[in-house]
Amino acid sequence: MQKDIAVTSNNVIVTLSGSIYVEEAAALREELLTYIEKGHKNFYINMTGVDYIDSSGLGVLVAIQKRSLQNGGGVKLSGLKGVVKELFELTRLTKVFEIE
Amino acid sequence: METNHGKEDNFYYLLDKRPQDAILFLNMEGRILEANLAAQELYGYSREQLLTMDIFQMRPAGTKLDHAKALEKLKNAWEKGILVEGVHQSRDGKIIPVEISAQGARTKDGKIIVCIIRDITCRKLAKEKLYKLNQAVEQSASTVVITDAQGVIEYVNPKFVVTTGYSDSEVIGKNPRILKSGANPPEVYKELWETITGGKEWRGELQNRRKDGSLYWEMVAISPLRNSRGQITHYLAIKEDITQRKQAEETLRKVMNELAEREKIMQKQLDLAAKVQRGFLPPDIDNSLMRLEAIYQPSHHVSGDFYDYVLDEDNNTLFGCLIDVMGHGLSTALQTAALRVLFKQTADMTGGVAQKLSWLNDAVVPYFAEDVFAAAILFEIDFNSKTLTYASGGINYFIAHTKARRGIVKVPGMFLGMLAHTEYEQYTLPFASGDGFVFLSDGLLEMIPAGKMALLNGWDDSCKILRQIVEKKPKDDATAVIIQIK
Repeated sequence: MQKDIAVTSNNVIVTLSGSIYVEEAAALREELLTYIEKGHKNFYINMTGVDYIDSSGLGVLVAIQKRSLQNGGGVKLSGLKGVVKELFELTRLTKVFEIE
Repeated sequence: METNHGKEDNFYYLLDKRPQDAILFLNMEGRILEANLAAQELYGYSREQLLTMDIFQMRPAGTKLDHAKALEKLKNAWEKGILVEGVHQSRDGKIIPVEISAQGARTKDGKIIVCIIRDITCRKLAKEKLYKLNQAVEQSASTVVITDAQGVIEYVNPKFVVTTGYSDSEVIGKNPRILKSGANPPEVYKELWETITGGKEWRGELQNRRKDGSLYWEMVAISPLRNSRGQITHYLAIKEDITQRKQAEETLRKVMNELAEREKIMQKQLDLAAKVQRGFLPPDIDNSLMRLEAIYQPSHHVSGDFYDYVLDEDNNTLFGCLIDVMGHGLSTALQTAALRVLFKQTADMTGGVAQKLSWLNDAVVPYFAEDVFAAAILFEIDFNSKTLTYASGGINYFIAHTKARRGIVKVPGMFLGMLAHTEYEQYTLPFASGDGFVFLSDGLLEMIPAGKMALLNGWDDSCKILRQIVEKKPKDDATAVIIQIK
């Protein structure tokens, strides 16, 4: 997995690519939580380049979403495609996130 | 032998007798009266040239000459004889370290001085080399001990004194056994002596005792030194103090033992936990309605997977679940235990599997951390109406073998424990005698090679593939409930 994180006008822009498994998910969680601790609450996650995400990866996204919602913000996902899109649909996570 | 002087004199015979050394005869002013072949070779001048020169011209170019002192020296030489070291220069500019032995003599020509000049370049170099070697040994950070062939100490370097506390005078003439601590087995010394007397180098670690009685560890290399005839004349020991390393090793060994001990205890606890966990699993069923066989292979001692079912023989129904809690550790195992209790409670509830799943979800949400959740599938088989009802809580696939569906069936549904108040959907599938269903964990489904997915369309092949995967002790928890309708 490759990740690129930037902050633009108080929004955290995350670009992910590759496959996201449990180890990468744990690292991603730690990194995104530091932004929440700094007071950020709006996350835009571009998943165009993501070809696989396992359940722990989904867990990280849900955890960030829960925290962001508590702080009055949220996580917006974009670029879902292929098996990743199907996974979001099957697990009904499409109802949890705002998806562009 | 050809002579180059042609004068009959008692002293002139020297010129032929000592051809390896340069010989010059000088008068009392230092003028060269005669020079042998070795002198001509040493300085690079012919005899005729030398006979026009004086001894002072052999000094390196540019050196100042105190003429009075030089003449005084010649006088001294004539009277008492001298042996001095100096530096001369040959015709081609080469600087030659020389040893000059000068003696006075009286000939028929009067007083002369016989100078025997020896080129000591090699001796100087050897001396310098020896000095360097000596300095290296004296200043070495390693302990150096040299004994004779009988093991009697002849030399120790200053590091030895620092390490052992013995002065060199206290140990020279003694045997190195004065350092013996008694901690090394006698076989070690036996092997050491056999090795070095056999002409080979011995390397090993020895625990020795200092003069003050304290112990220390040394890494020792002892090698025999031989003379030109190949006989062992001395032994050379080079030793490094490795006490600190040994102490660190000892500490590490203790920590490792402690860890191994703890690991053993932990292992016992895990074995017990695994036994308890396995004990909770319901037995397989083989009755007039079905044959139910479970596959359960935890990747670690305890598993995050579990399955359970309740057979209602009065109403001919089987209500079951397969749940995979994220993670593998003891905390995960405890969460599976909690979920099992909650599942049993849902069995007595009225309502469909989706409703039960919603209740289960709301019950577990408070107990799960924000990014911990479970994947689940709940199913109910009604053998009277021949219908399977199922709802997914994150296990979004199962395998069906019915007339209507054959192979993998996708079931939408959100993970269990992820969000409170989740609504689940339930679906039904009719079946007939001979049909079958396999509920399996995501982990197990992911282990099926892509090339074999098509085989899941056949019942026997499906069961065979799953068993094959589990036999290979997979890395992830692998669980499946295989139900064949009779």
